[in-house]
Amino acid sequence: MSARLHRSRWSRGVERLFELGIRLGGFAAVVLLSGIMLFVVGEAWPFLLGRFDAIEFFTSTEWFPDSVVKVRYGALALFVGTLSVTALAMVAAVPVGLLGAIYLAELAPPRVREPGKIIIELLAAIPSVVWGFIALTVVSPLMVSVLDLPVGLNVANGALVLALMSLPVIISLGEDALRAVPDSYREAAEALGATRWETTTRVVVPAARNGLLAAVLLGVSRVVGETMAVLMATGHSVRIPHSIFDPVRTLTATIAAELGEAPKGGEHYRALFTIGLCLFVITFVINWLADRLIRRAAHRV
Amino acid sequence: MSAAAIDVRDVSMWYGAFQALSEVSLSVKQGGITALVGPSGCGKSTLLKCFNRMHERAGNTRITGRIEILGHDVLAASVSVHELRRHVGLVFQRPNPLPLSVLENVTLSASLFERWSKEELHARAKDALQRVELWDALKDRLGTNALSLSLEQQQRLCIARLLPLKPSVLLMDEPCSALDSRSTQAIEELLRSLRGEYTSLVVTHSMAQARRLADDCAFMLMGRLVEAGPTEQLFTSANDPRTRDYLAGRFG
Repeated sequence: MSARLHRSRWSRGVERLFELGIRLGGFAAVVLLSGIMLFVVGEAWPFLLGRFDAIEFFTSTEWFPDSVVKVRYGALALFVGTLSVTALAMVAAVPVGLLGAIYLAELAPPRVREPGKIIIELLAAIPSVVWGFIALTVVSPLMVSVLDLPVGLNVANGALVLALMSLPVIISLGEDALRAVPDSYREAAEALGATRWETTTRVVVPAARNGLLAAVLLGVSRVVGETMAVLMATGHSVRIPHSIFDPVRTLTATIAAELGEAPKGGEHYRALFTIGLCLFVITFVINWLADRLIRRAAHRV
Repeated sequence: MSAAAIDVRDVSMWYGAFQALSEVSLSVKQGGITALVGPSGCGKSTLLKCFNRMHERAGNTRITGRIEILGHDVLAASVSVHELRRHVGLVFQRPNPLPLSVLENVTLSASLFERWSKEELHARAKDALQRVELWDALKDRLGTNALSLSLEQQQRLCIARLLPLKPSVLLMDEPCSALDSRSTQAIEELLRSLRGEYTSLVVTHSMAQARRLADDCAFMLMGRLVEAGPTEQLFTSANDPRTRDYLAGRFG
């Protein structure tokens, strides 16, 4: 009896070791993340203090970082490029994604739901360069031949590929949000005489509203940060698009395309890091919003 | 006496292979309060849910026999369960208001079946809330989330949301089991005040509640209806020895 009451020194030691390991792991994650942030800010800092001109950067479309005559850093067209591709992708992906989530969560029989979820989550695992490849070799020639366009690499092509890439995120998280609605709500609505569809639209979707919004926002942040596929699909031309069939260039694609040629530590290099910082801020704000909405949703139930 | 509102003939019901009800026959008088009593698992809640076909939600159920409510065969395949549930309302064991505003909770059911102007809906909501004595407490916060109300208010709201549909029958599945004794008393008073206007069926595992509340009582055991009759008669001079033993508290 008395021997059992006291734990051996060995077992206490093992427990301490585990605790230490977990603590180190958590600490490392925080340190690494803040390290990345400090690195990005640090690399952009000299440019922000020196050559950076906010008015030029945010309002001019003249992006000539390696001009021999006059170097100019107007990133407006890049912001508009990212915005236009993201917006168009969301116009396509949000309704389809939400309807898909509602179908899977509320209407599909179990033998469709389970394989359906697996297939959709597999879609999320396709590497983005493969999506870019599809944009380049399938969508682009199709656009040229069907719509009679001179080039098939444009806003619409990039948005289509990005929409397909964000669908798995929206459907999968949206389905989770809908399934988290307690069944007693459905039961109550049905007992009042509501049909399946009325139950879904009048009760379940409003109850899952914040979770669905968070799913959409996380889809947006996936799209905003996407690089490889848009680089390959949007045609790589720095300008404000006048139609969805104009080529553009996004913030991410600019960094990917130019960083290799910008001398390390030079002005161009630091300007690209400033773009990176802007992207960081954009995705951070979106994720923060999504997180707050999820928290609010959790509070309500 | 008044005519039968609900007439149950030889109803048997299965969840998969498990038989939950065996040849139940029962006649429920119109306008009264009838209590269904019996130990846990005796099938009283199951029988209640058959009346508005909520048992079908479980999937894989089978039912035989006949249930007539106000002369309509409600088990017929041609019956629309949505129309049926409009006329036969159900109050659950745990108050389950929807996560909407108080006003939306009360008007949801009515708005499912007919188009109403905003004023008409509001008037109906007011009627229903006054009927359950919530109007004075809530008239200034109809927009608040119903989940923020007290449990007793939530249960009153769950009764109120049935009323705009003018149902013929109110089914209550242990409506007070989540409430404290003061709230239980308040809900019982409400049920008594609805007597005559609505035919109420109340499932309860509290014999004392059945005796306080019900005009008639039906005692069930192991999926069978053992005995039914006027409450006082059942409590003082039941025919079946099992009924006498259960109502005297000798088993439960």
